[in-house]
Amino acid sequence: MFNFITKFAHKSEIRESKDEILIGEIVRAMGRQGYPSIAYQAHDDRQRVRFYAHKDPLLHSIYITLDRKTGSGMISAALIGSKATLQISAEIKNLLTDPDDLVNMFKTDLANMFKVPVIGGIKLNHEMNSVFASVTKIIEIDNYVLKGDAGTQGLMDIISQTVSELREKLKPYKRA
Amino acid sequence: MSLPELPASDQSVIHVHHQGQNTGPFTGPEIVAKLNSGELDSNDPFWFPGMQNWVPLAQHPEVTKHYGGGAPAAGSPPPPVPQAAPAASAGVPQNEDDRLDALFGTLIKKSWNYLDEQNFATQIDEIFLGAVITSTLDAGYNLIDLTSDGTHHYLRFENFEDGSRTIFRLNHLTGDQVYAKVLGQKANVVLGYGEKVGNISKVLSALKAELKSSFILNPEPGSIVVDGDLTSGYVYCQVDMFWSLDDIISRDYSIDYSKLADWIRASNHALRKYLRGRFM
Repeated sequence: MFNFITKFAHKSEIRESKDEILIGEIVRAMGRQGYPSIAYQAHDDRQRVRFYAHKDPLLHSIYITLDRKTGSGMISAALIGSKATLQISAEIKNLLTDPDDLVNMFKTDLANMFKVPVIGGIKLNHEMNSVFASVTKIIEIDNYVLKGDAGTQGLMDIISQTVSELREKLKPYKRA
Repeated sequence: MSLPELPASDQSVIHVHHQGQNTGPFTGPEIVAKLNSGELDSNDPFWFPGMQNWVPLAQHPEVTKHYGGGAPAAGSPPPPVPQAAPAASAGVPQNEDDRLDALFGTLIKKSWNYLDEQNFATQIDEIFLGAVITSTLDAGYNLIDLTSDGTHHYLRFENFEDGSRTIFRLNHLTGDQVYAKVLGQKANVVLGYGEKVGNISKVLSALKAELKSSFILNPEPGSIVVDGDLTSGYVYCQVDMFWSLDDIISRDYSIDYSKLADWIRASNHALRKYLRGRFM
């Protein structure tokens, strides 16, 4: 039974659990909006959840990744706050793909190789039948955690707005 | 409009739209017979592979003549071809090229449907995990730990008001479509409830109980085991269960949150009673 408990890094202070608290709120809010979670990758400072957009006429799924770059220590929190990168990706799937799409994939991959990652810039990526649009933002976790419904709503506004922007970018790539 | 080469007399490939219904396919001689018997009308539109559109039989008297009949009575000029009609509504394609395209499209769509079915079978545990998070947060808890490797999932929640914790471990047992169809979607669930015990002697007593718990190598449903955590001063009581995920998650991805909340509430209630009776 010790094994079970040791699966968790024991966290005696809320400070260390802020990203999990935030991910929990995101999962709940997305679920309520009709996006069930379909995949989790969760480690100490990085959580990635994939949501299925089964009611969405355009999107297939949405990925949300919360990466706490600053760590969860007391000193780093005091010095630079609880900053985290929030990456939001939207995926469309086309039922058919052909050689022209493969050429486009190589073009996009080549462009991505030379692209300097800019925070807030939308990046496109092709993978066979899928096309992804992603954007990364830096957020201050403290602005959204333990702030009640207002905190969650603030974060969901960012997510909804970002997903709308990604949707516009992906629209031209969706085929009937 | 000229017609493509007419089908041979023994080829059943001619479709006729009669009184709002698609009929056929017929051979040419069958059409002649049906015209003679009054089952079909000379104003009925017809189509066979190679034709671009449906046209009334009366516009092509050479058809009936070709198959041994006389030219149909001309009568009044034919009415307009039913526009909404035949091809799209009853699934009869306009030409062979369209038909094959439509068939290919169907095969691809069916393949995606199969993949979706497969994905649902393998991802239902993650959908369930999201439902557990939602239900537990609704009950006033906050998620404080999340560990997942895709198959084994661990969650821990804390109620910041009263300090109580609930832990949840889920192992999906039927992540294959065949198993899921036969057995239903099953998962091994360990649900735990913990409270902070101020008195160190109580934690030590919990550790003693934990030692005894370690003799239970393969816990069966209903076996309550105890965990004491010296670092945080928490004592947890846990129980093994097998839950049917498809009692909560439907194939259309709808989730019965209230039922799930009830399952979690009932389990926590029992474990809380046990923990307080034993260690408080």
